[in-house]
Amino acid sequence: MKGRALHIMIVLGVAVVAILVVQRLEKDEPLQEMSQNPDSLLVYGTLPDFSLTNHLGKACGTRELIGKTWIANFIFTRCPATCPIQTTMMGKLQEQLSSRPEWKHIRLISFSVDPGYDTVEVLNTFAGEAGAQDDHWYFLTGPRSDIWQLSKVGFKLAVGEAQPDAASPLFHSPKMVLVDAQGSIRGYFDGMSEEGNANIGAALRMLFRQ
Amino acid sequence: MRVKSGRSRVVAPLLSITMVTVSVIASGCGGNNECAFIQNTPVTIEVTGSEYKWHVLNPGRDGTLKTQDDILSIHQLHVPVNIPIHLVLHSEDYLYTFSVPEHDLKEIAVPEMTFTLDFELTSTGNYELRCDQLCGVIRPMVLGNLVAMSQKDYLAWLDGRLDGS
Repeated sequence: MKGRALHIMIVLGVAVVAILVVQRLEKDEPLQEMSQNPDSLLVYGTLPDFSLTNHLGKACGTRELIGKTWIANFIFTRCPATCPIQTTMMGKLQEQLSSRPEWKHIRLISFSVDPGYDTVEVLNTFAGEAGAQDDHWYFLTGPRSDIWQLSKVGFKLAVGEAQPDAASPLFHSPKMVLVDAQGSIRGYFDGMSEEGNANIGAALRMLFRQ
Repeated sequence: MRVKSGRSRVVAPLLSITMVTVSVIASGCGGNNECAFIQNTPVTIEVTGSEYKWHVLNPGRDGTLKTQDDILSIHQLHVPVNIPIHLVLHSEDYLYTFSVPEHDLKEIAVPEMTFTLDFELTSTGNYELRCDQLCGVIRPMVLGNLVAMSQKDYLAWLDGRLDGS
């Protein structure tokens, strides 16, 4: 009797598994942003030359970053909205990447979209609080028009003055952007999630294999 | 629902202007014929992001884009059900995400590039067109609606007999 019950349970189990497999096969192919597909790193554009100042007071721009692979985001230190999460995720990315052999070729760049307030001193304190490695993660300041132009035209990411009723004085994109050693954009990623960081990790592996 | 994503690089801006859609309406399907669509022949629709608005260009009765009977909509994407839809995504300024979570539709639009999204809906409905949230913008980034219509209603909308909202 027990043997028969066991047989029925096995048959039912196999049937359930078969149904689940069929449903899975019939399920629509999940869609990803193409920028997150590590098998296909497109070139989304090449950044224009820029020259800004990092949180250590040193020049940082095209000249200093050429030959490095870097991940960029746009933040500002008095931002009450997404920036704290963005900075946390960049910190996690630093932790995730720093054990890799390619780390010496990688830089993390956080552009301030509020450079009038975010002076070198302010950014230096902010970098310390964020746990930034001073030789890998730079917070950049400079003329606001230069940084906004770089965001809009170079990175193709919106930035501007927020509506008067908004909690934040500025709006900007919370994306992370992967830039290769030639200064070309190779991917846009969610800058506020572990999934975004994982996708950057996969894209970097692809990039360094090339 | 079926869905497929792809992309191609625009070599020259003129390419998008000269892009010709596959015909969707059979030559003998004018007038009162309300079942004019050729099954499995995609309807190509251009969707262009600009200043955080979607500008949507549907082909008219001739089934071909860049002709006089095209219909330009802002914020509203009208599609017939049970017909393959081929979206061609452009952007005139920034990176946008085109997303309809209810149907797992997601693709990006990037200046100077062309991305495509193929899908087919099997039921009518009205769905929000979501875009990635911007920091500093409180309201959800909804850039319009996807209006999935019966083929009959879609034809009526093409003919201006239905507002389609």
